[in-house]
Amino acid sequence: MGNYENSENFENRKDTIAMKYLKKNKFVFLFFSLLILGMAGSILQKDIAFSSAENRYLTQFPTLTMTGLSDGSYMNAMERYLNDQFIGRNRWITLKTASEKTLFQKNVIEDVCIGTDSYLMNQYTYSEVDAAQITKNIDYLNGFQEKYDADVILVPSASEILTNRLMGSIDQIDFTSLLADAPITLSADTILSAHREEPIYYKTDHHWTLLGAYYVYEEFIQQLSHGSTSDSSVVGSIPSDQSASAPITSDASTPGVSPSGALAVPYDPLTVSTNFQGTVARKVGITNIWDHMEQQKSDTSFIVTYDYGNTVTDSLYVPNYLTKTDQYSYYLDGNHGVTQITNLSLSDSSPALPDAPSISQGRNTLPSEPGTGSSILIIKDSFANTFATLLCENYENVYLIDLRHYNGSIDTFIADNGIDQVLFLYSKINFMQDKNLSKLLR
Amino acid sequence: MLFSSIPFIFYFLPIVLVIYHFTDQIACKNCILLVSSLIFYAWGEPKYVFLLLGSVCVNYIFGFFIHRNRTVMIAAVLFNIILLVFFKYTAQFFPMLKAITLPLGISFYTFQSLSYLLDVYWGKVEFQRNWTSFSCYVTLFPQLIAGPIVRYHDIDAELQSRKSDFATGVPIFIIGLSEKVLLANNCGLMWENLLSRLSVPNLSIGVGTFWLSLIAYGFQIYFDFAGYSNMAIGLGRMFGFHFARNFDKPYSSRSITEFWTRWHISLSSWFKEYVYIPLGGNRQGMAKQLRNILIVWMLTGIWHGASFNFLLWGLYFGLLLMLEKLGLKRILAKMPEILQHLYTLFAILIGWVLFAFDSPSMLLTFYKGMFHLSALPQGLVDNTFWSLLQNNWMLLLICGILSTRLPDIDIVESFYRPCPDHISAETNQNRNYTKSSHGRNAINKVKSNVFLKNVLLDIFLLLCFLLSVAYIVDGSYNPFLYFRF
Repeated sequence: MGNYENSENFENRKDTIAMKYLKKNKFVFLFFSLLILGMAGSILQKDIAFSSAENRYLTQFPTLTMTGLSDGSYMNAMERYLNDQFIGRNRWITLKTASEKTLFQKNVIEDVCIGTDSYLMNQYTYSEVDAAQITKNIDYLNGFQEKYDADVILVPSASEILTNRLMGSIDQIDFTSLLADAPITLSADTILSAHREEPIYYKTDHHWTLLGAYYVYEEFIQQLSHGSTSDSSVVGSIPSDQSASAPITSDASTPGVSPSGALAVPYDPLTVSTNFQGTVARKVGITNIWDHMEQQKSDTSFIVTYDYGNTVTDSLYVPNYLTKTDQYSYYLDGNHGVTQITNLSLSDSSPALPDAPSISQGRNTLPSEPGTGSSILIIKDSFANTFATLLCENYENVYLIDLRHYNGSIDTFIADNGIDQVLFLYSKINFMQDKNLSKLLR
Repeated sequence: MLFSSIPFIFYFLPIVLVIYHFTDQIACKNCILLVSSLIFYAWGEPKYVFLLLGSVCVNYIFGFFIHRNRTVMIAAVLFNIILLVFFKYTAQFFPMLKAITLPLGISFYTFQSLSYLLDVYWGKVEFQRNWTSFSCYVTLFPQLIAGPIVRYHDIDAELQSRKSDFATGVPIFIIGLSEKVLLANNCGLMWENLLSRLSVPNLSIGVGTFWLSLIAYGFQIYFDFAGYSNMAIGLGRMFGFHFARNFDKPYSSRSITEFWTRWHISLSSWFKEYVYIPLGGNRQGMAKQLRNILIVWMLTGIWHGASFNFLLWGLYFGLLLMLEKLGLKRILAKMPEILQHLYTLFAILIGWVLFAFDSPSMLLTFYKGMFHLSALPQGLVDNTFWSLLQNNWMLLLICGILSTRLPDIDIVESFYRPCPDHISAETNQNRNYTKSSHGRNAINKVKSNVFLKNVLLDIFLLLCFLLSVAYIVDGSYNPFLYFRF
């Protein structure tokens, strides 16, 4: 016990020794300074409501309730709050990405593939999709497609098309087999694959660029003027070299169709932003890659009506967004339940075109020919926003419905607005994940 | 509250440390530890904190009467076993009692209480008069929810008198944190990837993918558990408690017998001390010894969770241990070392499958997939395999190297020894901090190289800490694996 006594004495002197020790051992001192700094900094820092980097709302200070305390939900909320509002949040994320890349030598970080030429692409894994939901969505879409004889375009993800820019193999879901039963009428895969060397996707965002949308738009219009839509076997066989002659082809396309509205407008881009950093780059905190954003130059006047006249404007674009993080919303103001684009130059000459009757072959009731006086409804996700800024050159009225923000009946909408043609345009991944597709058959 | 979380590292820990270190009396210090441990527990289990308190109080009273008193001992053991069985296993067998959820850490604190009671019964230690000290032992937050299981006689003295040891505590904590956040969580992502593929019907998965993911799972469990133990040990030292090492390079073992002396040491030594030896151990003939092994390993199995696969997992190891006792070990010893390692790793990996799946059909699917017997057309390696390998080779390499016994990179080992400048040689001997002379050599090497010790190590630890924080803030995958224990 003698030694024991000694350590008892030791005990009494301990605090001073502990303090001395802290001063002597610089690392321990550094460690505790970091803890205190982290705490103080986070407390003093003003809470952030929205993280534009991660594109989500950060957790706010939770309110204390008795039930929250007893079932633990208050504590969970508090933990999320402290984590979300920790000081220097974005810098930590950048540090993590740097470590994944340099320390762990990863090409795929947080399901973002680092490609050649600074391309960043989302990799979609099986944990993000649910086989039952996909089957359901395909059923809804089949019902919808048959009911309205709709055109269906599903836009592939960048990682499916830009395989030439991937470093090594990626571990992605098999889109083709999962969507084998989807009634796709125009294969965007075929069209986009032919142009994979061109900037058809953003480097930093998951969307396609205006150019990517343009190639599909061009093919879409061309098919309509041939009157050969809604037959997937025909679509599959589209010669890809035809669309390869791209941006300036429109005058080379079918001579038989005369009305200006039935021709794809030539690709004529105007760069509106050179510092776009999209969702994919922000997700992993990569900040040294920038994208350009283009819009189509056009002399046509439009009236854009959002959500039944809630907002009416004469521009397809909202320049405000170019100074914000979410620049993609420049096109048609992001996501609205219902958007109507009226083409004034087409609506002036209201009488129907002389050749209008000739094109309804292959379709039951709806005239499919784009042109003066016709209306198209697009059931869409955000990929359609660029597409629609092109398509509105050819239709008097383009209606866009975003099912996430629209709860009415599609049937009534079509009847009320005299819709001639229906298009379903989604990115594949959104189509697989969307839980709102039952609304298609309302 | 996970140790590997912002609220714990940047709020709870510094606040408790500051209050703790500005009090003088040991009684006050124990009191502060008790209160903060209860807050820590209530944060995750606001209702069951009362169960914990109840269990502590009853066991405290048992402690007064248990010395050499067989009746009280049986009553006390029964009380604890019934408590554990009721909360851990009833919901499994009686589905209508689903409302009974498993209280966090009940297996750990019940075992610690039992350790105290039996130590007092056998007269190894005096009973603890001081309620705060006893409660402090059971509820001490560093080891409360995920171990290590501290035996009472190991820290009896430190409950009265102890000295904070930051010099080794902080580094061990940081190393544990990085093992959990940087290694285990990343390995866990590989495993999760396989699970999500397995849940898709009719998806063909290559043999290589099964094996690679299983190896990743093995690393995940090891680094997660060892990391958690190291964090607990590091935290313990910051408050002056010295818990024994819980994991000692288990994957470098040459037999399953050796593996279980290196894996979750606190649990296997608990079972050895409080079940195996009281049952007669190996002193009453081979037949009894085999019976004892079987009992201990069944219990070890179901200690890990209330479902049949954990029982199978325990029996599987019990069986292997019996085989090794009966002669397999002697045969192995004659084989080249590499074969001994391969046999051990193979047996462990096969065991992890049992540990991972509680549904028989998944188990079967997995084993079939591993041995190219899957009903679906199956290649040896597929795209997923290459992708996993390309993105994780460095991770797996680091994990692999850290699982070996190469002494020069074993940084953890160097901190399992007190800093020689400030702890006197006698206390050092008394408390028997270091057991292996091997470890001592490793440190002396580090110590002799002043530059490495002072600068490189500090930079390394700082980097580990900052990176861990970055991974935590990012909200990456950060699971708590012991909610079934």
